[in-house]
Amino acid sequence: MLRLLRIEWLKYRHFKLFWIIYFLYLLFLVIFTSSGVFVLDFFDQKGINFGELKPSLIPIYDFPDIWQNITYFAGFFQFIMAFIVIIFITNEFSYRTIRQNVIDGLSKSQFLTAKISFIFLLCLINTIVLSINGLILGLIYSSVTEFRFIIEGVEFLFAFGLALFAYSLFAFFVGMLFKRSGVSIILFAIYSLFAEPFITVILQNHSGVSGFYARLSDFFPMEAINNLIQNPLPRYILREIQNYISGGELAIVIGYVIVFIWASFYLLKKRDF
Amino acid sequence: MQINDLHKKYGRVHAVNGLSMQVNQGEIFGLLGPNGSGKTTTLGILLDVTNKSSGEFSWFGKPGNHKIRQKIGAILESPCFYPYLSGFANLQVVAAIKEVNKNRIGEVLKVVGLFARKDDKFKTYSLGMKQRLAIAAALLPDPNVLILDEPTNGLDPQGIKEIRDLIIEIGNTGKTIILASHLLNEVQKVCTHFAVLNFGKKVYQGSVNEALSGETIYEVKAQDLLLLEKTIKKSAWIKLVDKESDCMLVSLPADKNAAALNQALAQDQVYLSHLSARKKNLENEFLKILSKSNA
Repeated sequence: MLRLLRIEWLKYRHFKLFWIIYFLYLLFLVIFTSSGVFVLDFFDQKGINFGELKPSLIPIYDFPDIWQNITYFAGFFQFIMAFIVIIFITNEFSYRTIRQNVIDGLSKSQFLTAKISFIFLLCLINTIVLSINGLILGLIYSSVTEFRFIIEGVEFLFAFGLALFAYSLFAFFVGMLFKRSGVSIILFAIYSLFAEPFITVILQNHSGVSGFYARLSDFFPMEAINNLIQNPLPRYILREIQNYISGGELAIVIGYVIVFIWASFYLLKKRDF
Repeated sequence: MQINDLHKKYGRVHAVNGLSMQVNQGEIFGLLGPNGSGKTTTLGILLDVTNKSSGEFSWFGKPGNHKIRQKIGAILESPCFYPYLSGFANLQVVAAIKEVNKNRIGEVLKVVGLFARKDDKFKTYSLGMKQRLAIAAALLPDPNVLILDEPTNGLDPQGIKEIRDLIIEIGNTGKTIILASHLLNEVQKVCTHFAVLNFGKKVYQGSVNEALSGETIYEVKAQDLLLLEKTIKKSAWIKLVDKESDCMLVSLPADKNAAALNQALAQDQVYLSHLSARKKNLENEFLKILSKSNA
């Protein structure tokens, strides 16, 4: 495993575009999740109120709520990870190095293991960065800093990492399927930003669709990944929210992780290079 | 290396059709055939980048796997490397895949004469340098078997000679080399054995020496070709094989040589202006084999 990760590291350590985008992603993640207080202050100054509440008094960084809040908003940037992952895999096709790797003595399953471990590692780093960032923000702003409150709700960090991993694997599979970065990025964007949301909206709101079919969208990959961490903001106007990770939703996402890995492996086995 | 009844179909095209052959240790084996005859497909299957439709192959008596590929040096078609990495960094990737000591990288770069350019990015290399880097990569594990597919493709004459010398040098160290090429001259100069493929089938396999042996044909010319022809026909042991526009082709019995021929003709007052032994070459033999198989 370490050998496989080392091979990936040797391949990508001097690939500047890759690292620039990745560090921009981490930077966005940190800046965006840290800027909540400033945004709320800004609303204050503009006189925008939510219900009866003064925005700057909303305790968005209080433990344990902070975990759901930052992981939900950090999820907005997952498309950058998709972009990174697609470049990461399609390069191997456009340079035909995947073929050379196999000729040189990497088995196809080792090739896939190396790639997926590397993606996993990136997702892990993202999650750790977000956790540390959340911890610092909480320690600065939270009204409670007792240990039991800090660790309450950390399952949202796990869910964030899993959702990001599943999302990246979807992008990986699309890259494997189309082999070229341009086509893959465009088709991935069309599917994830337009096609699936469009069908989801129709299914959920059309009067002619009901019962099981209205819930069908829960099984779509993007929807399933996004469902894992629900929007926490309505709780600040005293609405009911899902402030936990649902077992069923978790199972669907884990199912997709397995499906994407299996489908990528199938493509790799089946194809001639 | 042994292949048994290998097939590969691309839709309706039968790229490799029931191929069986064997390459023994220490041979420099030329795989010949016109474009599209299945050479690269066959090598692709042997290296697990092309899926076979049916059939078997084995390396060192065992079915192929990635452990065996680690110990084989192979280049298929164009050299494939990461363009944004230096030559050295690219070989680091290969060394990690092949689990070879890093010290080898410098050694093989010196062998192919790229050491001075090792820190330049691959994309800045000329075609010849890319090809040489590919050979360096293939040499990394100090392989017992080297597979080279069109290694001199796109090189200038000097580059071709360098690569050819390199192949002969490597072959002399007792390594097995499988060389796919349509440059027959090249194969004739370096290979000990060869096989000819046509439409995915093997139409010939043998040693280069055997294919080129047999009786020697002599080209003779004289001022008066008619007189020369008459004299040859009169002779008891000179055999006229063929007439060309400006020369006669003759063959001699085993106990006579060119000097005897010259002497015999001079005694009949026919003085030769040209006498040379025409060696068989692989190109002619190859074309003969192919036309036979096409018929």
